[in-house]
Amino acid sequence: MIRKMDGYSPLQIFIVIFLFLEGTAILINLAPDLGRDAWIATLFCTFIGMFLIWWFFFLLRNTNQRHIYAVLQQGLGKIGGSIVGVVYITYFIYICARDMRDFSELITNAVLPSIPLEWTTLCFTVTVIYVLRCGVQNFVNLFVLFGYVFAAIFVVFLVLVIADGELDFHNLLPIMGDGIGPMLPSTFTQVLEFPFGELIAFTAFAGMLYPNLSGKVMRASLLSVLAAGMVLTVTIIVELVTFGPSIRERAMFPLVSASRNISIGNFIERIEMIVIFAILLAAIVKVCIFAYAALQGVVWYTGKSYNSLIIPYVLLTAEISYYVSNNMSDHIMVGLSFVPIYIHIPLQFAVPAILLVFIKMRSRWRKRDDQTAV
Amino acid sequence: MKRTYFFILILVMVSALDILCLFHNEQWNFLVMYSQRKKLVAACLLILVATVYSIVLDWKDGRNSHTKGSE
Repeated sequence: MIRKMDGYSPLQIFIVIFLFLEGTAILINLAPDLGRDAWIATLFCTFIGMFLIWWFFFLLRNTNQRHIYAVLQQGLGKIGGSIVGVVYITYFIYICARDMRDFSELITNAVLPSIPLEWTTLCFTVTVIYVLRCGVQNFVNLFVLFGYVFAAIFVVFLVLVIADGELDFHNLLPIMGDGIGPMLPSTFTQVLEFPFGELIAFTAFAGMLYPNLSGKVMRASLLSVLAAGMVLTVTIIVELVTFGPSIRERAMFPLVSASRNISIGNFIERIEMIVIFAILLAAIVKVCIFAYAALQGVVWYTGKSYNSLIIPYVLLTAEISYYVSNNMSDHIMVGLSFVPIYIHIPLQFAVPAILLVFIKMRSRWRKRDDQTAV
Repeated sequence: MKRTYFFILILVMVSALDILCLFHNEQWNFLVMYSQRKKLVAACLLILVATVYSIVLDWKDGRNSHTKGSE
């Protein structure tokens, strides 16, 4: 299935974006404030997410640059671009650390309760360092394999949930009982930024893998966001019909809880381990992509080789992941209150929008100058 | 020493962002968290390894460029 190739195929970016979006979003309680309407918000944000990936790639295509760090320098000048570029590296490392913490908390809470969080994180760190050191061509091919495994496990999970039969679709009713108004704030401050806005990480390297970001690549990316959004929506629906909105709101890892409830003939049980394995694959992809996005920035600013930078920056990510919060509930609280509004919105939407305006204005001024000179 | 300086810059910035997030969420006990022995030892070791690794690579780069220059 996986052909050896010199370049990268649209299938690869499809799977990488898909797993990136699933990453930790499938694990944690997405849009808990929205209760039974969480799936509608996710579905709605999927379409905005498709626009976002188009917009981010348009920024690269329109400027003929290969990554966002070069676009920043083109749009904001050398000093301004470098400052904002360093802020982006900081952002990618911080979000990478948060994702690493999500995964470590999952392992510590659900699988290995007697193993300290620090050890789990360290093991994950070593895996990430190894994957990144294999080089981009190899880890993208590895992620394609992860994609097939993830899809197979998801299908098995759905079949088992349906076979279990303990589904109450009344938990989804009334749909938008309080109208669309109360849904909007949580939709725009929670679901849109996480996970769809995080696609900004792809602007740090997508132009290098696919130099001209052709129509095929764009279509694959759009379809990938659509597929990932659909899978997230189905997952939330499964969580809701399995144990209702009130329990889902309180659950730390609702998907794991939903899979733990499955019992077919008192024989097929404890399938949460398979689900956790699938989440682990997606989490590795997400952490690697964020780390790779940050490393590309460091390579761009320092001019040092990529391989020599992997160990220090991934170790830094691990160190920050210890300190992002005291426990899982604080971690989720920070992720829902401060991070979306003060970190995600400026760096995912405001800066790219300002960049686009600056670049358009500069090109217009240049054209006007050329006409005046003629 | 460009690699090391840049690493320290990013370390300071990410730590500042982390503390800012904790402050905003009114987790005033972040110093208590920072001083938990197990976490502190693990974090210090990681940062020490990362910094020493960067310094050694920078020193090697410097030595190589010096050798090339003298040739």
